[in-house]
Amino acid sequence: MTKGKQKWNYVYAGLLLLTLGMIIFMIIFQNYYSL
Amino acid sequence: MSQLDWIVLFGVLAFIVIYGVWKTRHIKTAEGFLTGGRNSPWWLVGLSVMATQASAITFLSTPGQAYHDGLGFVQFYLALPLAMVILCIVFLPRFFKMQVYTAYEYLEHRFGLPTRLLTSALFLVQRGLAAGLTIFAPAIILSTILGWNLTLTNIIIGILVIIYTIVGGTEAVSQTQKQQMLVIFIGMFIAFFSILQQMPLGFREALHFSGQMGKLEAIDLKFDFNNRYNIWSAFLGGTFLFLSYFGTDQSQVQRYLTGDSLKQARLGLLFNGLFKVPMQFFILLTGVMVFVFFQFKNTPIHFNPVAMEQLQKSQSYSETQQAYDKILTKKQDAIIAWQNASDASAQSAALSKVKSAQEEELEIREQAKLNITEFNKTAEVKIENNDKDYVFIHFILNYLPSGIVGLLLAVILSAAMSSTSSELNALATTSVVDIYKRNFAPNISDRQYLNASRWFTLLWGGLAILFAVKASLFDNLIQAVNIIGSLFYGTILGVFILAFLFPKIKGKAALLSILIVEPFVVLLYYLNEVDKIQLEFLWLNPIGCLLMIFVAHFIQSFIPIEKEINR
Repeated sequence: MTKGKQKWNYVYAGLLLLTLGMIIFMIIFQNYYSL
Repeated sequence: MSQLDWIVLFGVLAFIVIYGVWKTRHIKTAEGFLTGGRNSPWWLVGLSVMATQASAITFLSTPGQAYHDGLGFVQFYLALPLAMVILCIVFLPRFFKMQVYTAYEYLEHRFGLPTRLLTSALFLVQRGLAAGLTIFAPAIILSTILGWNLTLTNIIIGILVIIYTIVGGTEAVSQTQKQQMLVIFIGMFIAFFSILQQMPLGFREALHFSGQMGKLEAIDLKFDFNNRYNIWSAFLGGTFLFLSYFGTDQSQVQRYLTGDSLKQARLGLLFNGLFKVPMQFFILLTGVMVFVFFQFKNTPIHFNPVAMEQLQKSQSYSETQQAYDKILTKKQDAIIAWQNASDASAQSAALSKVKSAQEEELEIREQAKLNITEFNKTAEVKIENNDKDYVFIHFILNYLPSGIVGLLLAVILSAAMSSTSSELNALATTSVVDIYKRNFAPNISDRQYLNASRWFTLLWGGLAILFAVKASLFDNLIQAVNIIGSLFYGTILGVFILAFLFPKIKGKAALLSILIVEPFVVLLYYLNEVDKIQLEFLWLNPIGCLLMIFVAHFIQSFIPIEKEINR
């Protein structure tokens, strides 16, 4: 794998991890304020 | 609307149109008109993609949706980042390598002219009709609420868009979208903070209250095939939907083809993937705050003023209104008791009072809707019964200060214009590149090519206005346009996936697959409509796409490859 491609893979993985972070945030958010 | 509102509204819109024309007055070549010179930086690509997707309905309807159903709609967008990553890996490098003007141009390279013509024609029909609705949808709401002339509103929105799209083409679309997104962000932030400022509860208290009322349930982890608002449906169905929309719909493809390079286009799409979810979350949260705010106000039984007028004509109206007012007062007292409760048990007792009052309120609202449904059965001119589109505009007009009302109306119209301009631009590009130049005038000069592009922009703009003006006459047509668009998405995505990932599949197999799979998708839709099967609309996309892959492989296995090559 070229260095350029590897860099892009990190960017994609970062975005998907951030999305997972957003989902976790929303779950915590809804549970916190529903209690 | 005050004079100041009119000044702000017209000032903002006129500035955007003049800015678009002035900024792109240098465009003198067809390449410049159709691709914007392919020199947009990533942030402009990202804003342009976001502005194209965000129509006026996004800002009118989404807060209203949250008012009624809470934050759950945000799940629909959770698949967007994943779809953006797939587009960046699979779609973009191929489009950029071939330096295409339209997505369908790529298909000729893989599958031959008939597939290119078929897919571009499908796009023209579907998007051509949808462009009219993009203008009509906000125009009907604004004319109902503000008493504006509907035909005139349609024509003004359409003409404003046509002016700068004709002058500057793709670049004018991107440049104006930059301003439109700025207006949208500023307007929405001001609206959000105005609600908080006027609300008797603090922000945290408002969040606790809406949480207790079930409005903050953003994520539903339960798997239910027939409910589109759970995380699994959103990921499975949403990924296919977004891949179709962003990967095969020229109105979006054209936005990222303006990117300076593959890198800039990719970053633009990833920017869209990153910010779309928080943006939708914020718009929905604004709707939830409107819900909390309205707990302290005497809201109408039905938010659509025309429906309200009809309800007022009935004999039992004054009785219903009295009962409704009583419930609201009871609820407001219970909320104050909840707010001032000294311990948990008092708080929970007050909350159950709020909830029971809320249920009574909903019952009256539902009954009002049933009355309107009954009226619509025999009425010549039907009344819009789903009042979610009217909630936010009711708030804007009644509770925002003078000047800000004009700004918020500018937000709604900017959103309408940003989507329409992308659509007209894409329609003109597809007409001129895939149909006119490819088939009828391959050797025209650049000047003629540019002129043809401008004429097609005018033609599609005129058709969009005409359709918007006539749309109110055809109730079912509006629904049909939305359905037609979605019915083709899965199949067209399937063609692109075959083109990109399955080199063994050739033109004949791809074309035959479309002709077999599409009627099957329509049949599935029909069976669902007549209750023979139960299938959520969202699933038609993955089904269409996956069927295309299987059927094309099956057909290809019967066609010798050599024959295809010699074709």
